[in-house]
Amino acid sequence: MKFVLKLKFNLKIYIIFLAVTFLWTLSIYLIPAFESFGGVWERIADYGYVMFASTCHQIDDRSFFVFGNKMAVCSRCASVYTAFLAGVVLYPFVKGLENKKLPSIWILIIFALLLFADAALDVLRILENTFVSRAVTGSLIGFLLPFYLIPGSINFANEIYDKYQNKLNGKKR
Amino acid sequence: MEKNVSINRLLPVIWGFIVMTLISVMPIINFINLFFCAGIIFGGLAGVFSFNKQLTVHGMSLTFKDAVMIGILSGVLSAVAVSGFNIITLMYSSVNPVSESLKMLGDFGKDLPPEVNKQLDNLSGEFTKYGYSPTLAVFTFISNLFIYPLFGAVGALLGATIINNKKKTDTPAV
Repeated sequence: MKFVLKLKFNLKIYIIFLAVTFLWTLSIYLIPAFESFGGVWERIADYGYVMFASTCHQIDDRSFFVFGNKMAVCSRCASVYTAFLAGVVLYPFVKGLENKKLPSIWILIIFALLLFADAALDVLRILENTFVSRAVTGSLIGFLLPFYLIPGSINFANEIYDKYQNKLNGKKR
Repeated sequence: MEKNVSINRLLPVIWGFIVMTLISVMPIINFINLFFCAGIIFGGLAGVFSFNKQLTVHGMSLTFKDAVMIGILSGVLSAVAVSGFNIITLMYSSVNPVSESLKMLGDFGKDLPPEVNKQLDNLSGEFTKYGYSPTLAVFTFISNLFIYPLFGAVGALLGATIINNKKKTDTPAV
């Protein structure tokens, strides 16, 4: 019974995590769509671009275009967020919501280094990166991150829940 | 967590805040934030690692709850500091960023729709009048208040997950 309750609670946390990720990722696709609608939608889109400006350079030549307009973030960031959403969707099927085992930290470090190398080699003008290299390196790390962050989020929510339950039980006594 | 052991909870928040803020305001280094706010994530990680260092001395283990709180609080403080720093920098700078952007777009031969041009002209007028744009400052502050704690919490959560996983792996099976 306790196991079922815990699983239900974990499922709720997972759904919240999925919803936040979905809204965040959807917004990077919706902003260029709003921009093409014109009027008040265009104004909303302009503020959307400003909001994402603090997280990304938004350079035209390095961004994907949808609905005839630039996405809210560059191709690398768009790949990270989209792959992150894919990772979140697939997580329960691959690992299950009771999982507490993480992939090796070295996989995260190697993927992060690949992304860093792709950017650094381009900045240093040693090897120019492409849409493909940015999308691949971004997607790898984006897809991997949920496998560290979902167990962490579930543990975090469980700690809060247990503390709240202990407080309630203490009051009842 | 035992209450009789004195743990400084402010120190990790300050560490997180310092790392996030320095990365965000230092020229060139702040490019790190253009990789999905990696600088803010590093700040959250730094705060959590600093807190874990204290806990290890007392033989205590890190909770996810404390880690996320460190990330969020460092993010809020940093959002305020970075927004304030940006306003001050703009006030003391003779450059009007809106006019510069419009000029750059013009150089690239890009025409903006008249409504967007009108809004940008309004913002540019605010820069000329006050030395900064209150509209843009308020909007940037609100978006920073959302983005910094969010990515700070992501960094802190990542740090706590790695630390706790490492502790589990290091502990020999009984």
